[in-house]
Amino acid sequence: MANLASTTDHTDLDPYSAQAQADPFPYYDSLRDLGPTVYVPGRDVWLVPGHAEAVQVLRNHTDFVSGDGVTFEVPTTRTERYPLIENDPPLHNVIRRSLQPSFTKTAIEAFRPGVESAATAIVDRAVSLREFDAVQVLAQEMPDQAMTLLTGITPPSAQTLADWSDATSRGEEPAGTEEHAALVMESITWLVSEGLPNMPEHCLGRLIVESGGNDGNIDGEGSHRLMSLASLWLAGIDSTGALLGNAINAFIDHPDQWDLLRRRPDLIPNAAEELLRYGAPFRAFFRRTRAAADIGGVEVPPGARVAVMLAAANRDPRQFPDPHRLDVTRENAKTHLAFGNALHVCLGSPLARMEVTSLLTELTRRVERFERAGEAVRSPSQTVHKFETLPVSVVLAEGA
Amino acid sequence: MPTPETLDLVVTRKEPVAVDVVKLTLARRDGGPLPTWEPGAHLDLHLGDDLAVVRQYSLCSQPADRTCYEVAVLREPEGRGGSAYVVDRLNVGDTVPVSLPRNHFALEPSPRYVFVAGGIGITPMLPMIEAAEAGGAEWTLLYGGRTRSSMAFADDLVARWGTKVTVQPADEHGLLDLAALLDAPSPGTVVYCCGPEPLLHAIEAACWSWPAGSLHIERFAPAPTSDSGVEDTEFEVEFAQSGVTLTVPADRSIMAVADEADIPIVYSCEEGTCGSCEVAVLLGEPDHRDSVLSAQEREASATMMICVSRARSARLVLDV
Ligand code: HEM
Ligand code: FES
Repeated sequence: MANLASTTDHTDLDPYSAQAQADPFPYYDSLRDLGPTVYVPGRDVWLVPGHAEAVQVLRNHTDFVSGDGVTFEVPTTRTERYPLIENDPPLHNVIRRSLQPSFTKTAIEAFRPGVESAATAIVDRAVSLREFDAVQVLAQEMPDQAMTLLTGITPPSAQTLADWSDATSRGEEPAGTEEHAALVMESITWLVSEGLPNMPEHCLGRLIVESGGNDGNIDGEGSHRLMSLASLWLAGIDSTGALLGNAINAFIDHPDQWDLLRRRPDLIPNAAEELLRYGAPFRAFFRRTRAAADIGGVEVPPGARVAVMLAAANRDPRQFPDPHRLDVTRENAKTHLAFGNALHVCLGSPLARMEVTSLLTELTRRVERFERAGEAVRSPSQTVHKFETLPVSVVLAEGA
Repeated sequence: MPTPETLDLVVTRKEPVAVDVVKLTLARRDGGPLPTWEPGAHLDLHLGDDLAVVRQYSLCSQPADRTCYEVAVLREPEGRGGSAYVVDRLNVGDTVPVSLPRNHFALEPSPRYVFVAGGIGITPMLPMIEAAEAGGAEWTLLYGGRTRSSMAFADDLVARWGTKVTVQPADEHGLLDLAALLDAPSPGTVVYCCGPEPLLHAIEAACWSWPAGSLHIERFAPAPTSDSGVEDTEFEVEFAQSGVTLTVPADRSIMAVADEADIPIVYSCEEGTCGSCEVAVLLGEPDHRDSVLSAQEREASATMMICVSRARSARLVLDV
């Protein structure tokens, strides 16, 4: 903590610097000692890198609101706010209550046979290819199929859907462009003209747009219902895809953990939590203040943009001893913040968990080892920590 | 996920190791090697005539011995029948379906350990101590129980490790003095504690000033409701904003009752981890069972997680 002034000029603090972008974890480590929150003048943002403080901000939804945007930028080209994630109580709770019966663990369990057979087919293909891009063949396929099962929306292709979902978050980061905004528009236009009419008779998509959710309380006026469906549909793609790519990469780097998981498949649910901790897709979500508020004893002013750094919190040594080690037996892995926390905690987490565990179950049975088969390329996304391509080859298990 | 694999093991030995405590030795029928495990791991034993009772027991043998697993079981008169079945009915030669070992209480590498055990909570400490010793770490064990004769392995431990082990039966010494043992955080020291709920609460309180991650605790069962000996009871909840008062029966959660009555609550995990169902408590005394609130927040009880937490008072008033 000494030499605060000399060791940290503003470029060092910038979460969007090329260095922090390429290798965020040393950067996160350097932030944590600077206090509960760090102001970055060049970006006009208050960073919250610690686990305890991140939880404090997320739980305090009165002082740290979502209604003024949960992304870095809130583009003026977007006239609609996302009904769930960008609203505060009471409206947020009305919509969430209308959707949550479809997302309980019991409700999601109904999709298990479909998700498991999708996982089997995806791994069949990977195993027959032997050498492939893990992003395309594993990571993008799983959420594409799972979200179709859940919502009833059949996208034009897994790649198109992945690009749409990617653009949703990219459009709202500092480097966001009009192209991203145009892609998001394209996805909504496609959803209305082709996605919705081709949905099966009974599905979550129809429940939302035609009946206004489980209790009919999602307002039929305007595009409220459409945007409720669109936002949860796009929320479930890039997030899960990023996680799965990061997971495969983590196991290439930690072959001992892969061996352990193959011997101990009962550890798979905990491994999923550890992978969420270690390879959290979202670097940060944002909150805004409307009045002065407190973060770990530091006062932030009204109108502050606050970055809750989920991926940094997941590597906080005060919460996770030896945080940069992947440890599938880690006792408190589940306290990770990859899904956020409190009121806005990820609605789709039971499905995301099922996707990860189903895919790992199938892969541990059939793949003895992952090896690199070319250079892995990180995505330029400033919001989602993920790979653009991850070439791998697999050594098959006996009898696979 | 398919249901985790189980192994059909046979009871090869059953011996009393203290009043109301038996040690079971379990092995493969063909004598072959068992799956590996690390100190702190437990097994699920499927018990009862229809194998419907599943109980968790910490392994107390040594991981290096692949020929058998050992667990020690306390016969709990108020327990729901799992422990009584083991002590009274299970015999050498019987088959017990057993899960693969799982570990929520793994031993982190450290130069220094403080082990604290209450009653049958001594079991995971046995392999932990061996591992600490093998790793060249410093360690001490404080072991409490009701009476000396109820404390399994106490004499063996003292005989083997001498002054590193302190045995303090409550009828001779009163309750364990954790405040004295843990009064100041000591850098590089980690604390492992296993025992009944009151001991775990006491140690959480004693360690509040220690760095996060220093204290590791193991509950006998993940749901503090099941083996704590306290039966859940019915209570009343007034939802102040909604102007409704409802009865929460012993077998349902506040969340389920509120949701059914259309009280506007939000939830997700239903197991006390995600924090989405947190509500403000206006009156009454909650019985906190989540893993979201810190020890200080539990003490203050300004809020509670209504998916798992219940009430100590007959009535709660919540701000929803
Ligand atoms: C590994 C995959 C996923 C990750 C890491 C993830 C992460 C997150 C995070 C961090 C939030 C909280 C945002 C905030 O606090 O402002 C969130 C909210 C949300 N997620 Fe996910 N998510 C994933 C998968 C999914 C899936 C599969 C779905 C849909 C089926 C989904 C739907 C949503 C929705 C609707 C919200 C808004 C909830 C609210 O505001 O009440 N997510 N997610
Ligand atoms: S619903 Fe997750 S803590 Fe209660």
